[in-house]
Amino acid sequence: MFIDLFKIHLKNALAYRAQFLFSLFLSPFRFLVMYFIWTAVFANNGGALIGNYDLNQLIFYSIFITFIYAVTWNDIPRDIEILIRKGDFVQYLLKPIQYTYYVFIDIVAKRFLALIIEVLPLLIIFALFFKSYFIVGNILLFLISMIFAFLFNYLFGMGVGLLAFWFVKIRTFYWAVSIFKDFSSGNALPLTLFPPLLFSVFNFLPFKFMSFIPIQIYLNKYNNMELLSLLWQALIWLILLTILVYFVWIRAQKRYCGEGT
Amino acid sequence: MINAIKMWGSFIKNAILQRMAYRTEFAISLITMSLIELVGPIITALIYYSTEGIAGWSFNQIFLLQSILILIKGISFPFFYGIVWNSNITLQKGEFDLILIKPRNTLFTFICSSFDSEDVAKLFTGIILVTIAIYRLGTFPIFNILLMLLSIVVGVGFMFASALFFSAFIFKFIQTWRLYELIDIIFLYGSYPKKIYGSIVGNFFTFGIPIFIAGYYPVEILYGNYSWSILYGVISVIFLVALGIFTWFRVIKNYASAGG
Repeated sequence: MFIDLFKIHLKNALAYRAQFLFSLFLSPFRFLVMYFIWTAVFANNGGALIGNYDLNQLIFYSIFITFIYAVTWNDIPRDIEILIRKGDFVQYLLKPIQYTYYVFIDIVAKRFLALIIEVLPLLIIFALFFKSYFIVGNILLFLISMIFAFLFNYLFGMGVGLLAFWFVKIRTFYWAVSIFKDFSSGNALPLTLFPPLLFSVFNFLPFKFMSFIPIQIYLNKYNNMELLSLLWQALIWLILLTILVYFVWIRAQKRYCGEGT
Repeated sequence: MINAIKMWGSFIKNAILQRMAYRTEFAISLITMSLIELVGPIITALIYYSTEGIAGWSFNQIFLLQSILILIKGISFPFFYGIVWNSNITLQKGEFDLILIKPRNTLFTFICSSFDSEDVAKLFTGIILVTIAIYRLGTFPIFNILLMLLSIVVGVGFMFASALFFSAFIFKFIQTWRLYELIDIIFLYGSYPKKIYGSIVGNFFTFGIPIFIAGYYPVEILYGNYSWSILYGVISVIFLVALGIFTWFRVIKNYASAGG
């Protein structure tokens, strides 16, 4: 099923050439602006560390944010809202595979494709023009943390998306929580740049596992004890969120009556 | 002319009434739209919280730059930029034919039908932020303020040109949802002073895609820092508007009904 879905998404991507070209160029274009901003900030700051990062690390942070975004992003809430509003969700109830599993495999296939058409061009440009900024980090642990990041993003998307069963139009709510997620996950800026109180709040929440922690891990910012503690935290949050989403999913199915078909 | 304004007015009224069907959602949407626009200034404030700043600019100066950009988006997005979002939707649903058979100028009808009510929040946010920013920066000669307002009009002109090009692009290539991300990134480039980009990128965003005319230059003008680049930027905008109108009608001429 994963291979079939991957083939479909690949054909889709190649069928619309403009969309495909955008996919190739957007990530490098987005990265470049961050490169300019951080270089200017460092030049003005006399080269001093910013939030415990030197310039190389912040440039790397920007690259990895783009990478993590491409690999873990999903649009589940929007998809579910459309299915509910148009009454098309009923078709998924007739399929021999549960919707939540189907979406999971579908997103894995889509993100695998994104890895090839979005991340690779970015890495090539980085390797060609920004070689001096390269940092050899903890790749293995980083990849493991990326699996967690993917799972957290999936659970977040599914959790918010399932609210459409009750409120139908959830688009703006999704935008609002996404803004919060962008800040608290370290997507907008490294969490160490936030005031101490905000940092403590964001450090308690699970969103940090979506971006900030994987990059910190790559940059070797934790010792073994800290890593172990983070692993436990991540596992506990994952279990709690999975139970919560599962519970909402069961309630959502009971509530659904095919309105809108 | 009056007739055209009346027509635009009825489209706006209809769009608002439609959104009022889900009142709470509309209210949340307006608040969210304002919050989204605050993301840029908040990120900048956080950068200034931990550092000495960017390219010698004070926080209030960059805050003004970003506020002007929000104001220009606030004028453009509800009133005509909707043609960009609407191009994909009308194409997919095959509804553009309905625009073509209307007894009015196609572009004007399309602009009227694309009014985006929730983006009005950007306009109010922009006005409030620009007022706060100017107040915090102190007093300026009235002549400079008037010139800055004029440059904001030019910035709106740039937005109009970009809306035409993006809409034409969508009609030409179909299924181009990621174009919206490109628009966001261009605005991100326009949210910081030209100085940080170096000459090639800086000139590209002054003459090629003159986004600096919608944020950076209005601030420079307010401070009385005039340069030839501003004039070139204005000429570039005028040229782009003319080319945008020509391109849009050219693409529409080749439009073959699809979707539905």
